[in-house]
Amino acid sequence: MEILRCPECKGELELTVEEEMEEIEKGELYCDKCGIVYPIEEGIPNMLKESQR
Amino acid sequence: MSSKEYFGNVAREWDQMRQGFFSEEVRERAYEIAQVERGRLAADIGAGTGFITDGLVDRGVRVIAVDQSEEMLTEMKRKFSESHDIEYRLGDAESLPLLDGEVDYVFANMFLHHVEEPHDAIKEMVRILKPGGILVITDLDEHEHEFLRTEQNDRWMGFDRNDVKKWFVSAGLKNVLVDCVGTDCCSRSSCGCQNAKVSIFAAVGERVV
Repeated sequence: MEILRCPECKGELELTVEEEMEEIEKGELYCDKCGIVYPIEEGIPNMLKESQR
Repeated sequence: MSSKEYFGNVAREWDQMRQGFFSEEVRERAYEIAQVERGRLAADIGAGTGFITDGLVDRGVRVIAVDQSEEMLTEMKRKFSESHDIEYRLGDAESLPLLDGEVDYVFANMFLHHVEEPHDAIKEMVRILKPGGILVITDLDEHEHEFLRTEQNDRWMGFDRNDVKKWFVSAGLKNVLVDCVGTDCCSRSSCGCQNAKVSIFAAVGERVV
């Protein structure tokens, strides 16, 4: 997940982990440039545009 | 209803529904033309509940599964909870959540007829391929069954193979081939009064640079 990029601007994402077991279960990826937060729920990062979630 | 909503609603029954639509032959053909090798990394675009991923993992290929439906990916994750070779990402066709040149193979089975802009979706799939990487798209040939659009949220009524070939070439793929899978996609309308039997093509191409 550290290697994921913002699908909008391809910028680097800042990872915050809220819950971690074998993998990151819950957290978020934040794009500093776009100001978009991509949530991670049940180990699945939601990289959809905000309007499509 | 959007296709995201449609697939969200049918996620739990999808495996059973899919069996009625098309057979395992489709994916066998896809693996064969991609010449998949163990230890490689693939993206399964429009992964659903993991029809394509399933056989890839069996062949020792790691998979990044992408779908726009949370319900589908959650169902898939539950099914493959024992596997450590699959990563799940929610994302859409226009901007896939993968890096440039991240994977060796891209598979998209019955995905293209749901996207708004098929040519752009193909370019996006080529972007995430490594140089020398292989794209395999399996989808429906052109048909006239309107109910697939109204009832199953298809966006396109199949494709002309020549168009697909053109899109592959202009997206920067070489050794492009579009051929029969040799099996059909079958579906019945909700009233039971219409049956669709549509042939399936497999398109393959290799990323040049």
